[in-house]
Amino acid sequence: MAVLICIFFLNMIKSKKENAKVMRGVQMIYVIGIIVLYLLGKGTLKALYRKDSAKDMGVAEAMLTGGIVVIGLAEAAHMGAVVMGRSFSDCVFLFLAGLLILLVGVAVLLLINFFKHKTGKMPKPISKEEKLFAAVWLAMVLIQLLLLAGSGKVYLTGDMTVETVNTMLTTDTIYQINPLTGQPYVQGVPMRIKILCLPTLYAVLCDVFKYSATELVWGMIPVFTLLGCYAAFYCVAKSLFPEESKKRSIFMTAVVLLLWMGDYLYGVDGFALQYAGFRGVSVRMLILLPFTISMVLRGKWKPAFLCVLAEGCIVWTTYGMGMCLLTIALMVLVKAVGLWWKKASQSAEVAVSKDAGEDNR
Amino acid sequence: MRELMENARMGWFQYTGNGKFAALLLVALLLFWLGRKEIREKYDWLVRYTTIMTIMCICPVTAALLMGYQTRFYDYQWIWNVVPVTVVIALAVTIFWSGMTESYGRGPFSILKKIGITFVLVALIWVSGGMNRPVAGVENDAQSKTATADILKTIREIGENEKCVLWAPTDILEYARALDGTVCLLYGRNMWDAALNAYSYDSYGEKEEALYEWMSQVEKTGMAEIMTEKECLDMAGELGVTHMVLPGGLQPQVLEAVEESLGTTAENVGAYYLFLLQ
Repeated sequence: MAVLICIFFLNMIKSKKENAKVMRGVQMIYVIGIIVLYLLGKGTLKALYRKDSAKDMGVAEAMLTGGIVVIGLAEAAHMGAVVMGRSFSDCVFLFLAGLLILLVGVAVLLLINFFKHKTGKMPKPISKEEKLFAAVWLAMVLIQLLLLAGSGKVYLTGDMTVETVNTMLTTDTIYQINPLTGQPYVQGVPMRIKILCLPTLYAVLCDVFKYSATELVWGMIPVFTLLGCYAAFYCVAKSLFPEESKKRSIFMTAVVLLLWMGDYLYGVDGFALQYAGFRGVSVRMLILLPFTISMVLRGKWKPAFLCVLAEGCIVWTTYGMGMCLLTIALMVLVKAVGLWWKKASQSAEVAVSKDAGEDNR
Repeated sequence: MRELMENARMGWFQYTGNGKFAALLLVALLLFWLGRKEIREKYDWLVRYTTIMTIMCICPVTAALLMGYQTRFYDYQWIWNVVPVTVVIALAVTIFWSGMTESYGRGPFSILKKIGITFVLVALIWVSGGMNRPVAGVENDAQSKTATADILKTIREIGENEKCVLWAPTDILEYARALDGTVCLLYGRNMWDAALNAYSYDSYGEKEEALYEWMSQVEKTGMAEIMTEKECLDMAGELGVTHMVLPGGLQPQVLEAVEESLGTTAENVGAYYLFLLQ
C-alpha cells in the first residue's frame, strides 16, 4: 500500500509534461517491476529453502532476492552477447526470453507450494507508539521519494552509466563504442569492466519501456534503489529484533533519518541514496551489504552468497571478490574467534576450579 | 605502498572532516561496550565485528591493506563499506530510545520527556550528518542541460542524418552524450574527469589535449592566446570536427577571427555560438 502511495505521488511529479501516456508508463514500470521482483524472489527462496527453514523470509527478502535474480539474468544475457559478439538487440531478446522462462518456472513452483502449504498466522496487535513510528517512517520515505524525483540532483563524477546506456541503444552494440565520445574504441576496455551488466540492464529497460536513458537512469532507478534499500534495512531490523516489532519501527525511523541527513560525502550511505542511486557501488552499499549482513546474522548463507555473485556482476572489483564476500568472511571469522575464546575461557575456568578442588582436598 | 599508507592516513581526516557519522559510530560502540551486559551479549557478534572493522579502518596499516583489497581505483572512504555504520548507529539509537522511554514509565510528564529525548536524538543525527549543507559535485545543472539540448536540436535541424562530431565548452560536452547517443564528441568527460579513464585503455592525443586547453582558456577568459584561431580550426578539421560551439562571453576579436577563418557567420543558440566546420 505504502509503495502504491509513493508511486502515485511520483507519478504526479513525473507527469510534468502532462502526458497521460508517460504517466501510465511510469506507473507501469514500477508496478511491473515490483511484481516481477517479488515473484522471482519468492520462487527463488522457495527453491532454495524447501522446508520451513524459510519461514522468516517475507516480502522484503523476496523482493531483494528477486532483484538479485534479475541482475543474474541480465549478466547471463549480457555475457552471452559479449562472448558471442552479438548485438544489443540479441541481448534484449536473450534477457526477455530468460525472464519469461524464469517467470513460468516460478509460477509452477508457487502453484505447487500453494496447494502444499497453508499456514494461517494471526497478526500480532500493534501498539499506538509502533503505529506512530510506522507513520513517521512512511511520511519521511514519501518526502524522500518526492525530493529524489523532483530535485534532479545527480553526482556524475567518475560515472558514465547514462552515456553507456545511450550508446547501446543508438549503436546496437555492447562495449564496442566509447560512450564518452561516440567513437569506436581503439584499444578497448578492460575485461573486468566488460563483464559488468548494470548498464546493459538499464538499456534493456529503456528499450522495453521506451524511456530515454536520462529519464530511466537518473530518475527511476534511484527510486527502485531507495525501495530496495529500505527493504534491505528492514531485513536487518528483522534479524536484530525478530520478536519486537516496535523496536523494528524505531530502527527503521532511525535509518531513514541517518540516510537523509548523512549526505555529506560521496561514499557514505545517504549520499549514495540521494544522488547516485543508479551506480553499482550504491546498489552494493545500500542493498547488497545490509541484506548480506541480515542473512549472515540469521545464518542464511545461500542468499548471502547470491549477494556476493550480484556484486561481482555490477561493481568493479578487480580481484573478483568484493565487499560482500569480505564482510561474510570477516563476520564468520569474528564469530569463530569469539566461540573459540569462550570455549577456551570456559575450559580454563573448569581447570582452575578443578585445581582449587584438589588443593582443598 | 608508502603512497597507499599516506592515503589511508589522510583519508581518515577527510572522511571525518565534513560529517561526523564516524564519531557517532564510535559513541554507539562505546554505548554497547560500557552499557548493560545483556544488551552487549544479545548483539555480541555484530558489535564485535563492527568494533574490529572500525579499528581496522582507522588504523593506517590495516586501512592500507583494505584499500589494497578494494583496489586503488576506489578512495579511502569506500573501505568503510565493510563497517555497518548505519546499522549500528540505528541499533544504538533504538536501544537507547527504548531504554530511556521505558524508564520514564507512565507519569504525567512521560510524553514530554519522550518528545524531548526524540528531539535530542534527531538533532544529534542532524548535526553529525553535515546539516544538509550543499554537497560539492552534486548538481542539477538544468541550465547546461537545456543549453545542450537546444544546441543538439539546432544541429539536427541543420543536417538531420549527417554525422556530427562536436567540439564545445565543457558544460555542453558534459551532457551531450547523455542527451543524444548519436552525437560524437572530439573528447569526452574523461578529459577533465580523470576517474573515467579507468574504464578504457584509450587515451587522447596531443592535438585533442591542445584543443581542450584552447577551449578551456576561451571559456575562462574569452580570449585565445595558446594558438591562433586559424591553427586551432585547422587542427579541429584534421580531427574530423564537424560542429564547433563557442561560449557567449567570447571577445569580439576572437569571434571575428573564427568567422573570417571559416568564411561563415556564427549561428546564435542561446548563450552560445554554433559553427559548421565541414
